[in-house]
Amino acid sequence: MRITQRAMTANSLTGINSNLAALTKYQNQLTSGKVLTKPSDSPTDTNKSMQTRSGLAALDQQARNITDATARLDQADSALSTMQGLLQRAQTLTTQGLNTGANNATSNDALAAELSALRESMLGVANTSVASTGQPLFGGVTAQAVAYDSTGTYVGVDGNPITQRIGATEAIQVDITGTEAFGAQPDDLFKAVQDIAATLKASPVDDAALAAGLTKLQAAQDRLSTMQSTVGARSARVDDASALTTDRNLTLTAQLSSIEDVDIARATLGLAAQQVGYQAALSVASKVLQPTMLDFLR
Amino acid sequence: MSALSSLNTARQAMAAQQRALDVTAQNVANLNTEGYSRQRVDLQSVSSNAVPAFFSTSTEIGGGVSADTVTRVRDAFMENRALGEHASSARLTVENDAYTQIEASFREPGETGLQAITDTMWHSFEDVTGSDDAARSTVLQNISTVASSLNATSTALDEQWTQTREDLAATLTQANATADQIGSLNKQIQQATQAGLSANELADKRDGLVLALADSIGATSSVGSDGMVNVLVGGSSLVSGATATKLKLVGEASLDEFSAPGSQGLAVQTDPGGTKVAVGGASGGRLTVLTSTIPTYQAKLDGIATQIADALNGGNTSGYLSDGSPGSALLGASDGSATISARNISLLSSSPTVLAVSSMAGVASTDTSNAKAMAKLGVSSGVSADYRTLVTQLGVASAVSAQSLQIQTTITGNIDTARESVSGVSIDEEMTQMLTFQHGYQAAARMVTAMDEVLDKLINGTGRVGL
Repeated sequence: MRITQRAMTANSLTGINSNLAALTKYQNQLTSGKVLTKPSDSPTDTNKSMQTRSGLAALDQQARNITDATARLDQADSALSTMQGLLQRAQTLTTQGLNTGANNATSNDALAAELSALRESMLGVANTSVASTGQPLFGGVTAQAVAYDSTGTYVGVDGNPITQRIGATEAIQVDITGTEAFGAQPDDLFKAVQDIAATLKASPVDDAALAAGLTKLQAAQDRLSTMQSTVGARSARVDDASALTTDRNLTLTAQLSSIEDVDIARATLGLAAQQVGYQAALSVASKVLQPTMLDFLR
Repeated sequence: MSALSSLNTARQAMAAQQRALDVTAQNVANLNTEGYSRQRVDLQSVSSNAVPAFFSTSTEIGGGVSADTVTRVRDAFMENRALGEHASSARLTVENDAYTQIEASFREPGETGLQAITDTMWHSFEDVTGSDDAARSTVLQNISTVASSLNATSTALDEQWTQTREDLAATLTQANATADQIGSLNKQIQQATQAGLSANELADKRDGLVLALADSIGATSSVGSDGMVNVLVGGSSLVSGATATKLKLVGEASLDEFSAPGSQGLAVQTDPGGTKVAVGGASGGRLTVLTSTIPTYQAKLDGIATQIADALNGGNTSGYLSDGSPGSALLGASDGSATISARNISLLSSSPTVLAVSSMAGVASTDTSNAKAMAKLGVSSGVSADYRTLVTQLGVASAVSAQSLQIQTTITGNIDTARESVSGVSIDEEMTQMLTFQHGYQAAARMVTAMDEVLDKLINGTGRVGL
């Protein structure tokens, strides 16, 4: 093949240009920190990257759901504990009322008054609202502001349970309705306390009715305990899910980084190697393009 | 054979060597001229009169040297191949540029891409609890963002289409001017050739223009009479001798019109004549981008927009508002069209009350189970996976196009090097030629001196024996 100066110049230029293009590639990778900036960089990795990004977005939402679920369940747990305390006090008062030998009409009235006050406190606890949304904690899906109105009538709506997704497919119920926690109307906890107070006010006191009231309180306490353990079990599941979410988040973040981010060591080495190549191309070009026969003609 | 005849031979030799030196000078002068083909003097010995006459039989030796013809050194087959390869290079460059631009319009993978925005939108449904208006507003805002993101990508594709069409029209205008120039150069070459003059420089210039036409419209050439060439595009004649035909672009002026059913008339035609021409090169690439590449991805994007609208509208219609009445469609077409596309998708109302998050009919409630169900629609309707497939397909098509371009660039580079190796000027070679012709000239001059001495002896020395 016949070689001319122009052909050599053009070849050298092509070589230097391709070296420079490779240098630019490494420079871009190292300055942006990314090896994957557009789908054509690697269609397979793009697909993986998009899936991983979707997964991460889902996990972020899951973490928010878990925060909401934890808040609701914690609130329910503390409300139920408070209710337990109030209920125990009501049981104590009722037992005192049954102690007929030590009681007279005045002390019975005092007991009745305290029980009525307890009932008001209980209704107050039952009307606790969710901190984040203001909807009643024990009202189900009611559109009202409270679960029980001032007369103690349940105005909650036991419709679909309120759920939160805490896993890819796992959703957990995060609410407890008034019916579940305090019994179905009209024979619920509040009615029982009200009835006991009314019995104590009456003279003479109907001991049989008081004893029946105490049994109802016992049943209400059993129900509350059951609900508390249900809430505890749900909280435990949410805690598990929270730990899983954190783990999964770490895994996916690492995966995304391995797909999209530049391997600094590799890119730096590549850059160094390419730099050597570029310098060699320049040096060869400067040596080869220099001499012609003109240098030797006098 | 006379001494005077030898003098004449030496004179011819000096003239011929000088002409050869002139050509060498021209070659050296055009060492770096783009498209210049090196030239050679065809030195030919002049024979004596070999046919005997009646009374005289000549014993003459040859009559010297002639240097009448100067030829261009070039490989016609290689030049023709170069036309084809240059056209392919130009076509692939345009196509690859288009893919790069489409990729940029999709902004994937990243935080600003449609996937991230739609994911956020679907997930925000899970934040809706109770009667919280803020969460509902956020959802609607997110839906609106998805719609505007689709609008933006669609607009980017529209603009790319319009820009490409303008580029194509401009390329054709330029090609028409080039074809005219080739025609007039053909005419000059014809006149020069017929007058027996050298038209090498004109031919170089014309061949450069033909190569430019190969780049822009995929032209090929065939040899005509009197040194002229005929230029063909996609089988039809563009330049025949001195006459050039014009090309024009006809058809829709926007992607919207082009995508409308039954109106795919975008084509390059002869003007006048209106015959469809299958152009190649950069124009061929642009035509492919206009009629196939961009419309394909626009249609796929429209499909994604329709899927999202169907999923959201279906989900909201099957749910109930907080007062228990049934929900209505969330997304519609901003231009009043019956079909929702990426171009016109828009949120119908941004009032938080339109979100049908409840699944309890006829009851006022704060139920949000329909919102939880709608949060899953992105995955269950398959739109997320379909969009991923679309982006992956785009990535594959773009990567393949980049690879083809890379291969074609190497091939074109090799052909150009091969052409250069035939037609290019080598300094070493020219210097050697220069020395050769210089020595030839010196030898011929020495010849004249020798003859001079011989004649001097003959004229001044004759009859002077013993003096």
